Amino acid sequence: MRSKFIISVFMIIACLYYFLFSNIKSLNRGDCVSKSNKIVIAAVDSFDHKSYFKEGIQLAAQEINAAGGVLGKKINVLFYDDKNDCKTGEKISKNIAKNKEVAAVIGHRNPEIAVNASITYKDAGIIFISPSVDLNRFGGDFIFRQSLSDEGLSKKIANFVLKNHYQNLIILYDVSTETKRFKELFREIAEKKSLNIVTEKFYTANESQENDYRLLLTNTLKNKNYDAIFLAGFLPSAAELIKQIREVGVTVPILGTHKLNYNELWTIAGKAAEDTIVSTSFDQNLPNNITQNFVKQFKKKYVYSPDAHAAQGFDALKLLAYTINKGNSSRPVVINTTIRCMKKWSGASGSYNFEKDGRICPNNIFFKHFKNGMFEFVEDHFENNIGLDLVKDITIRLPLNGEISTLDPGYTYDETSIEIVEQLFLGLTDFDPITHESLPELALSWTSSPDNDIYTFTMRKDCVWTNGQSVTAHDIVWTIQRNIKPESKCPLANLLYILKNAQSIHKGIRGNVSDIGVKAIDNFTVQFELEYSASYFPSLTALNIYRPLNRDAIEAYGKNWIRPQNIQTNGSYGLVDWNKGSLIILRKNTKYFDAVNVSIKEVRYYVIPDNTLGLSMYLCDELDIVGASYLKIPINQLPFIQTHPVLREQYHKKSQVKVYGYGFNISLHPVDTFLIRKAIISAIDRKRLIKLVSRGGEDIAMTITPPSIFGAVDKNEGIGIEFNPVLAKKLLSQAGYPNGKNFPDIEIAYNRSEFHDQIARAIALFLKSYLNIKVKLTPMNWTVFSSLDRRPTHMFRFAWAADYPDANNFLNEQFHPFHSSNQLGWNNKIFADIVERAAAEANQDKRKELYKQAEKIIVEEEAMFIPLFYENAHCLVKPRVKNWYYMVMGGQHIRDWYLK
Amino acid sequence: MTLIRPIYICLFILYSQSIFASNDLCIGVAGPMTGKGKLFGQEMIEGIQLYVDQMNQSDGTFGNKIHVLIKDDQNDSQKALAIANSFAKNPSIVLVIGHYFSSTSIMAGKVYQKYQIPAITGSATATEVTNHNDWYFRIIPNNAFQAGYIASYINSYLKINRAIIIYDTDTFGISLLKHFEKAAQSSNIEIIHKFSIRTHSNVLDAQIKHICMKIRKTDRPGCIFIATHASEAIKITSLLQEDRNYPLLGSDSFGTYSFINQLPKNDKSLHFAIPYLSDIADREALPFIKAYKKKYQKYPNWVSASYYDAIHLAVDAMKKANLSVEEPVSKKRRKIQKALYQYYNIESSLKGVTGNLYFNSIGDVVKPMKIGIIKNNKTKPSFIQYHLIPPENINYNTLKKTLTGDMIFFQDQVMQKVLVVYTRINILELIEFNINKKLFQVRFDLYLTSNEDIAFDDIQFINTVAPVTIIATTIKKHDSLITKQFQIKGRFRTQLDLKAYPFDIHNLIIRFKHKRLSRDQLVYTVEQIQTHNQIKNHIKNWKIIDYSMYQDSLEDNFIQRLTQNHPERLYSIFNSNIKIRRKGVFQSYKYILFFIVLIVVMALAQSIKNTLLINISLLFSIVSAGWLHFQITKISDAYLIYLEYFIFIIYLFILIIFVKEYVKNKFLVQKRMYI
Repeated sequence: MRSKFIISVFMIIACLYYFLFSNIKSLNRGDCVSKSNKIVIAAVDSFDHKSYFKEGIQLAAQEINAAGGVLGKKINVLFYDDKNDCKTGEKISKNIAKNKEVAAVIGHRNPEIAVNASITYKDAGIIFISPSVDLNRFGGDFIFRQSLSDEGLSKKIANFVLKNHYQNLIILYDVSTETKRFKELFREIAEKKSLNIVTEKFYTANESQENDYRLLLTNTLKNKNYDAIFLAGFLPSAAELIKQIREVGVTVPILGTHKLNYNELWTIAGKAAEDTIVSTSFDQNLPNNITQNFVKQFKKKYVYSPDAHAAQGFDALKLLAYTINKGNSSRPVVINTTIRCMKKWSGASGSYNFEKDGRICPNNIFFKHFKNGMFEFVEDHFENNIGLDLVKDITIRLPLNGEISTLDPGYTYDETSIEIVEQLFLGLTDFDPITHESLPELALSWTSSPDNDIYTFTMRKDCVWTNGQSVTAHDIVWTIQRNIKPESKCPLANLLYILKNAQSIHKGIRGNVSDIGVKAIDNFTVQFELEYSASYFPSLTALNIYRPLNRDAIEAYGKNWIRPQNIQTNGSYGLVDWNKGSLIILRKNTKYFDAVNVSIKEVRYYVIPDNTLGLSMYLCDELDIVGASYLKIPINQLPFIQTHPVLREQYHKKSQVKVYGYGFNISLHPVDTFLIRKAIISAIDRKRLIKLVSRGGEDIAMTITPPSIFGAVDKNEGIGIEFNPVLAKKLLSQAGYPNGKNFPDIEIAYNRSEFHDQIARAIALFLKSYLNIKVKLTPMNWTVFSSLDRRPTHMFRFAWAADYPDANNFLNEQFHPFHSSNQLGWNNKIFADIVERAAAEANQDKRKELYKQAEKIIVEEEAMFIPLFYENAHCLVKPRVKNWYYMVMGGQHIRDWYLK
Repeated sequence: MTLIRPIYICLFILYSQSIFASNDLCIGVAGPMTGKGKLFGQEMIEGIQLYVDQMNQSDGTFGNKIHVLIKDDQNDSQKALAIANSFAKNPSIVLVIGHYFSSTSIMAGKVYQKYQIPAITGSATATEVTNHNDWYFRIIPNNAFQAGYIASYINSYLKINRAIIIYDTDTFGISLLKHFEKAAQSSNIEIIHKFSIRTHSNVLDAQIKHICMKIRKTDRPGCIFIATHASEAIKITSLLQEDRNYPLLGSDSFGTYSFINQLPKNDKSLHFAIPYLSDIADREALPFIKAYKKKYQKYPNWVSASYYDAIHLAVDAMKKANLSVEEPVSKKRRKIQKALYQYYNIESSLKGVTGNLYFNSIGDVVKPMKIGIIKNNKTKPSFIQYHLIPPENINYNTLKKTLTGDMIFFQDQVMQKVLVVYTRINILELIEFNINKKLFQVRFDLYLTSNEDIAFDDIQFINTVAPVTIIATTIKKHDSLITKQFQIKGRFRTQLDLKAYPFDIHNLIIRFKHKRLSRDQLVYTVEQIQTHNQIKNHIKNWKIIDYSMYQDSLEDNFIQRLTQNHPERLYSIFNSNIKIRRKGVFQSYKYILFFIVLIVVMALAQSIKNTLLINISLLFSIVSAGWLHFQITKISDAYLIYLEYFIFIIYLFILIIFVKEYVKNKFLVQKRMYI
C-alpha cells in the first residue's frame, strides 16, 4: 500500500515531468526564435581549400551588429565546417536542427551535402540558403539557392564564347550528375547559337589516387581543329586535367565555370593554368557603392582582398537581415515568404533577382583570365556601363559652368566643350604644361622644311578608335577638309587659315576642298603645307579643330554622331552617359594607347549653374575641384579662401593666357611724345588697381605676353615701366607740362561694360592725382569699338586671350606695324623685323630672345602699350587628387592625375 | 612704487620657477630680465603676470593649471639659444612666449622650428622671425608693415613728399630702410638723402654730429625717418631738436618708457608707430587698463599690453586645442600650433587689448598700428589713426579715398582714417541738482581739437533733457589743427543710486558722441584734467568731491539700426563726471538720533513694567517708524535703501516686545487661575 503510494506519487511526478518535458519539446521553432534575445544563424563552410566564405559572413555580422542589430537583437552566427564530407555534413545539419533558436543556415556549398542537408532543414523549418542546393529535387519552402541557374550561366558562357570568336569547341566534363547536367545544358544552348561542338568527352575524378588523363586527352584532342576547350569539372581533378592538357601541347584557352574560381587552380596546375578562363559572380572593382564599401571594410579587417565566396557569404547574411527587418519578424516562416515576394536587392556582388521557386540570382557574371600567374578580369565593366552609381574612390567629380554645347571638336570654342574634347580626342601634338612647347601625342615626331612652311608628321600606329579601327593620316585629312568647308560653319575655322588655300576655300573663292594644304603621304604620315613660314605651327596642331575624327561615325549618324551610342573616340576616356544640362560621365578607354598609365577610372562632370553652390558642394566634399576652367570660384570668396588655414593649402593660383592693358595711338598729340607716354605709364599704380578695383586676384603685367605661354618674358628681367609717381611728375615737366599745367585733355576709349568702366575711371583718377592731367572717358558699344575704322583716341583699351600658347599670337599678330590692324599707329621697322624673324626661327631659345627684344621695344623703349594685368585662374583642389597640374589652354590632363 | 615693482616681479619670477607636476601645462617665457634691456623684460612680465593673476582668480582655466616658466636671455642670442634648447627638452613646456628682440627670436626660432614648439612674440619685428618658420607667431606688425605704415602716414596725414632716412647698418636698420624705400615710392615720397650709422663704431657720436650738420644745411628736408635703435635715436633727436621745423618719425622703440624718459624736454613733436596706446584703446582694453592701473599704479604701455595679449592668446589656443593629459608633449605642441592657425580672419580672431588677433599664412598678425606723438616727454595719440577695412567692404570708392588720403593702402590692406579728437570739458558752474527728477544743470566749456572741422551740430549729447544752449563759440587754428571752444548750458539726466542714502555719492555725467561717425572713424581722447576745486558749486547740501573725464564706447540702439539700415555700430563716447556727496552732517545724523530716541523709549517702557505705558510706547514706535518708512519710500520704492534697514530693526524690536508681553500676560492669567 505504502509502496503503491510512493509509486503513484512517483508516477504523477513522472507524468508531470513528461508533460512538462514534452511541452518544451513541442514549443515550435518560430516561437523559440522570436522569443530569443538574439538571432541565431548557422554558417557551414564546405570546402577544404581556402576561401573567405566565413570571413565574409563575419564581416556582415559585425556590420549589422555595429548598426544596432536586427529588430533590436544582435546577430549570433554559429560557424561549422562540414569538411566537404557527407557524413560530417549530415551530423552538422542534425545538430543544427536540434537547436531551436537557429532561424537560418547559410552554406553547405558542396551540392551533395547540400541536398541531404536541405531535407533536414526543411523538416526542421529552418531557412536554408546555399549556393549549390538542387531546387528541382528538394526545393520548396525554406530552401533557397543563391546562384545563377545553370541555364543562365550556360547562356552567359555561350555568349562569351561567341563574342571571343571561339567558333569550334571541345567539351570535357566530369561524370558527376551536376557537371553532366550542366554540360548538356551548355551543349544545347551552344548549338542553338550555332557554335560548333567538335567533340565531347567525360572523365572521372578519382579522389584516392593520382589521375592520369594523358591517354584520354591525346585521343580526344589530337588532329582536331578547335579554338577552345570547355571544361565542366571540379577542383582538384580539373586542375590536374588542365595541367595535363598543357603537357600534351595544347595551348588553346580553356573555359571553366565558377567551380574553378579558386586559387587552388594555380597551386595545382601552376604555370599550366595560364590561359584558363573562369566565370565568377563577383568583381571587387564593380563600380557600385555597396561593393566598394564591402571591399574596403574587408581589406581593413582581414588585409586580403575578398573573393567571390566572401561576397556570397556577406550577401547571404545581409539579405537575411534585410528580410527580417522588412518582414518585421525573425520567424523562418515569415522570412521564407518575404524572400519569395522580393523582386530586387543589391549586395556586394551587385544586384540580385528573385524567383518564386527560391532562386536568388546574381545579375552579373564576369570572366577572369588567368594570365601571368594571376586572374585578370576579361572585360572592363566601364565599357559595359554596369552601374552608374557614383563610387567616390574611383571617380573624380568635377563641376562645369554651363551646358555642354557640343562634343564635336570642330565646333568647340567654349571652355566646357574644350575640356571634354581633350578627354575624348587626341591631337597630333600636345602642350608641355610648364613650357608650353609642343609635345608629340598622336604624332611620334615631325620634321619641317628649311623655310618652316612644310611640316611632316609621323603618326603612332597603336592608336585606335573605340571600334578598333586604326587612327590614320586619312582621318586627319578628311577632318580638316570637313572643318574648312564653308557649309560646315565651324566657328574657329580661321585657325586653319595658316594652311595653304584654306582661307580661299573657307570664303568660297576656291571650290575644291582637296586643294587645302594637307595630305596623307601614307597611312601614318601626314603633311601640311603652309601659306607662310611658321615655326610655331606644331602648337596649332594641338588645337581641337585639327584633331582627327572618325569618318564612318560622322557619315553614318550625321549630327547625332556625338551621342554616347554612336560616338567613336580615341582619347584617354570614353563617353558613357550624357545627360544634357546636368551630368556627363566618362570612363577610362581601355583601347587608349597609353591606357596602362591612366589611373582615374571614371570622370563625372556635373553641370552647376551657380558658382556659390559649386563652392559649397566642394566644401561638403561633393566635388574634387572647383575653379579655373571648371566652374569659377566666386571672387568675393577669395579672401576667405586665401586666409582659411585649411582651404589656403588647397588653393592654387595659376596664370591665364589673357592680358589686359591700354595702348597709345601715337598719331595723336600729345601722346606722340615719348616722355608723356612714359609719364602716363609711370603714374599708373597697377597694384592698387588690382587690389582695389579689378579685385579678381590678377597679377601685375609689365610686358604683353602672359607669363604662362611660350615667349613670355620673365618678370625678373626688369622689362617694363614701373609705377613711380615722382618720376612721372619729373617726366611731365621735362616734356613741358610742369604739374600738368596747360596739358590738353586726352581721351580714353573702351567698350562699354561695368568692369572696363571702373578700370578706365581708375586710370583717369591716377592721372588726375599724380599728374594733374584731365582725361575724357569715351565708352563705346562693342561693334563701334571693334570696328577697324573707329575714330582714333589717345588711349584705348586692349585685351587679348591666346588662341595658341605662343608669343607670336600677341606680338606679331596683334602689334605688327604693317601686318596687323596697327591700332597703335606706329611704324617701328625694328619691331616688325624682330617679330617676323621670330615667327620663322626654328631655334626656340633664339625665338625667346627675339620676343624679349620685341617686348622691350613696345612696352619700355617706345612705351607704346601699358600692360596692366594678367588674369589668373583660382583653383581649389582636394588633397586626394594627386599629380594635379593645370593646363592653361583648357582641356585638363585628367589621364595623368590619380586619386589617393 | 618704483621700489616695489621690481620686488613684485622678482617674487613672480620666483613663484613661476617653483616645482610643479609634470602633467601640468607650462608656458615658457623668455626675454631680457637683466642687463641692458631689463626694462623691456619687466614690462613684458607685468603684462603676463596680470593675466596669470586674473586667470587664477577667476579659475577660468581648463582643468589643469597653467604655469609660467620665466627665463632670462639677457638680450643675448647665444643665451636665447640655450634657453630655447632647455624649453625644447622640458616635457611640460607646450608653448613659448617671447623673445623680446628680433635677434634673440631669430636664433631661438631655429630651435622652436626644429623641435616643433609653438612660440608667440609680442615685440620682435624683423620679418625673418616668422618667415619660413611655421612655429613662430607674432602679434605685433613686422618691420615691413611699420615702414609702410609710417610712409602712408607721412603721405596722407603729414602731406609731405620728401624724406630723409637715417638707418643703422645692422639687419634691423637695413630691413626698415629697404621696406621704407619701397613704401615711399608707392606713397609718392621722394627720398632725398640716406644716411647710415654704424652702432659699434668708435666714432659714433662724430658720425651722428656730421649727419645732423648735413641735415641742417639741407633745404626743405621734408621729414626725417629714424630707423635706428633707441639709444642712437635719442642722440639724433637731441641734436636736431633745437631749430627744426620738420617732423621726426620712428618705429615702436620710440614708444617705450626708457626712450621717452631720456628724451630732452621739448615741444617739437616726434611721431612713431606702436601697437597699442591707452588713450585711444578699444572697448576690450578698458578692463585691462583698469586692472593694470590698480595693480601697478600707472598706465600700461604697449609692451605690457602686447604680452598680456600674447599670453591671453596662448591660453585661448590651448583651450581650443582640446589637449588631453595622456598625449605626449609633441602632440600637444602640434595641436596648439594648429589651434593658433585657427585664428585666421576677423570673425575667428581673439579680441585682444591691442586689437583683433589673427594670423596670415606666415604667422604674422594682421592689424593696424597706432600712431603716437611725443611732445614734452608725454605720449599722446596722433590726430589721425587708421582702422583696417575688411576686404568685403572694399568697393570702387576705396581707390579714390586712398588717393585723397581718407584711406591708406599698403601691403594689400586698406585702412580707413580715424579722427582723434582731443576733448576736454571745463565745468564752470554746477547750477542745479534735483534728486527726485534725477536732473542736474551745468554750464561748461567744451574744447574740441582735431585735424578736421567738427561742427557743433555733429555733437550729440546722449543724456540731455532738452537741447543745450550755446552761450559762446571761439575757433582757433594752428597749423592743420582746429580748436573749437563752446560755452554750453544744459540740463542732463543722470542715473542715481540711492541705496546708500543718506551716505550716498552721485556721479553727474555729461555724455556725448558724434552724430554720424562711429568708433572706427572718430575717437575722443581726453586732453587735460581740470581739478574739482575749480568748479563753482551752486547746489546746497551737496559737495563736489571729484571731477574726471574718460572715453568709452556705446553701441547704437536697435531702433536706430533698423531705421538706418546698417550693421551694428560702435561709437566713441566722451564722458565728463562730477562726483558729489551729500553735505549736511545733521541731515544724516537726525535719523540716527530718531532711532536712538525710539530705542530708548522702548527700553524705558520695559523697565517701567506698566502695560499701559508699554502699549503707548509700542504704538508710538509703530506710528513713527511707519511714518518714517512712508517718507523714505518717496526716495526710492524700487529697492531697499540703508535707512530702511534701521526701520526694519525697529519693527523687529516692536515685534519682540509684543510677543514677550503677550506670552507674559497669558502666563500671568494661568498663574492666577491656579491660584
